[in-house]
Amino acid sequence: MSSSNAQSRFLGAFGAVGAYLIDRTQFAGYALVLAYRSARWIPVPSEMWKRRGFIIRQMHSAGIESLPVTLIVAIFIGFLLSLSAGVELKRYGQQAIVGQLVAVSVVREFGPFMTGLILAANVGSSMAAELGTMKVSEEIDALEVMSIDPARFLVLPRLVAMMVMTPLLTVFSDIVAIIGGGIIAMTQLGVGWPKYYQNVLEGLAADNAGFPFYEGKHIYTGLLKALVFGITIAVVSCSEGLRTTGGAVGVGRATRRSVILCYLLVLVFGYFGTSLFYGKSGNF
Amino acid sequence: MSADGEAAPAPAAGGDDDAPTVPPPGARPVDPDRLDGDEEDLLEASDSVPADETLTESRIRLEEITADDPALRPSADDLVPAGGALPPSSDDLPALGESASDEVLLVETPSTRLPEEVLAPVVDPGALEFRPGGPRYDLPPMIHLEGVHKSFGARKILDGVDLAIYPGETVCIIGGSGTGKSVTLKHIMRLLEPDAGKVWLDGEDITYAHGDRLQRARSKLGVNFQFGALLNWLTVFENVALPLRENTKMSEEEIERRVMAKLELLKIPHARDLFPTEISGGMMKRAALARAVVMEETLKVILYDEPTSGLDPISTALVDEMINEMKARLGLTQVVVTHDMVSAYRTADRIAVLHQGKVVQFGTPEEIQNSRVPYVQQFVRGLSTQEALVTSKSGKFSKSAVHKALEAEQRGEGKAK
Repeated sequence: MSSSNAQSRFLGAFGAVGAYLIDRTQFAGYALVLAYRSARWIPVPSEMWKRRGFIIRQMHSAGIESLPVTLIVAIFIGFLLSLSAGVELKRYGQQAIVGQLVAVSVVREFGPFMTGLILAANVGSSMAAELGTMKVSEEIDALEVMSIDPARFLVLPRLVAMMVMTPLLTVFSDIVAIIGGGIIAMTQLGVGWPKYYQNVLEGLAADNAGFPFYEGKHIYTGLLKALVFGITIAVVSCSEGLRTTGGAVGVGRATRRSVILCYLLVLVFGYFGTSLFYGKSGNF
Repeated sequence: MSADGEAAPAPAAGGDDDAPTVPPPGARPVDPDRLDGDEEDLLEASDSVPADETLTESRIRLEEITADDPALRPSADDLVPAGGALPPSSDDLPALGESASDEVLLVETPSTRLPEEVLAPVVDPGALEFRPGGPRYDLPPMIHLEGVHKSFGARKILDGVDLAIYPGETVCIIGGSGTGKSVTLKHIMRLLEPDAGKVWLDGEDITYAHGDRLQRARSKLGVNFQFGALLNWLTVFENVALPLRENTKMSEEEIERRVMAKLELLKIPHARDLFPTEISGGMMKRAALARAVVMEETLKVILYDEPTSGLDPISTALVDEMINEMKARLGLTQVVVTHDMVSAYRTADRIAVLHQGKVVQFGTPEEIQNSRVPYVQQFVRGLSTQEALVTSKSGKFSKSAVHKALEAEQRGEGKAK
């Protein structure tokens, strides 16, 4: 009897894992198709002009409303990096290079990474919840019956807004984090601002072998990652929202799943981005 | 409203291969093969019902309206047929109820008539070109569902639904919660694909339609969703203008003119700059209907999903009036999913009763009222299962008759013991 129960439990667990994998595979396919169906309108100027109102509204929602929290997080990231690295460097009398360390870390990794995480939590969750609510209240059905493609009408403005605002926010957060690092360098590490600033510029100009715009490789790679994060957050959040079922509970579930998946993908894509540009096999 | 000349003719109602004809008033729309044993027996028993038991067109007979049974009275009030009928002897309904025996003629009387302001037409007659309405049973069906089956996982929702809805006809689909009413509607919208069966719209098979074919089919549909499904970030005007802006190349001036005409038609021009969260439920339904009918060039069918749910009786009457006006003025085919019998009687040319994924009866309001199918009796009259069975067996549509029969049964059982 107990053997039969154990077998049944094992099969149940096995089935649940299988169902989960099937669902996630279907989700991946849905998200890719959705990304294509919306992104194919980006090169069409008339379409972009027609949607300008929605796009600006989404840009405001994704960018302006997320700016304060992004900048606050950015300055503290700058403080932390500068302090933790500077204290160790100071033991070896090398605190003067803290600017280089902060600049490269922030521009290449932390800037896009923290912006992506903030937008995933702040904007991605909002997108999933909004579209999920529209789905369960039949607004998506209404659009389809009116022959209005939700990918074109709802997803395209969000995708464009995220493609523009994520790199833009990343630039702001990079600048603020570097300034934060400078404040710590001046006040706690005894490094003057001119020296710190010079060191930041040197850091950003380093490691340029083979890159056409060598002076900005760290900046470009950081911004490219931010662009990928923005696309990922928009597509994943919209897909989760549009696949919502099950009323208010379903909306909550879709929102949670969207945030978790965006976090994971930001980490994974961040690593592969760095590996692509700076890893053993990469180095463009 | 005629069928598209290029389109293939749809099969006739109920999957019958014969050419579509006017459904005979006395026809039994229930397929006995689809009924379980008890229902089959009861149907056979119903054949012996005298002809004079059926209701006439000009009046609706209720079996009983008594002073101690107030629950029946509101529905009775609303069962007054449009156009009114001759008062029998009294114009005071409660007094009539007190003196009533088992059968009462319910007519429109001063006490039952709604106030003038409520009865005022919702639609401005001059706002649209007049197109005479009324069902066209001589034409092929506008909507035809043929043996539609649908399951979600292990749960069977539709189990062979057959429906043929003719041009200009208003059909109400009624049934309890979870019987597949909205799923049926979603098949007509082609938001769902059936597991088996076919769906025809205006002579075209749309069962698996995609792309341009689907778009063309959907352009014939206007849908009034249960909660309006208006987009919350757009004003009422922008919501109504949405199909025009997205699907046509109309100028903003033309869109403005068209949208305002529709808002005025539905008496909500003052709501144009309000957001859906700022208007009442009734106004939201009217705004949604304005959006549904704004593409008037291609529109042939309006689908309503629970149009009166959550509305007070006056707003319900207004919505019903609106549905009738849409038929009368625009000559549209309409499908109304509801579980509100009062609304169904007010608006329907025919009523389809769904139960356990099947159409257990499809007939005129009078036929539904007189049905011998226990579930239909139960649903229409709000009876318990036992009461419904007794009603169907006795053929007497009376609560007191039901109770007498039940008592007699119990006495009989007592004696037997």
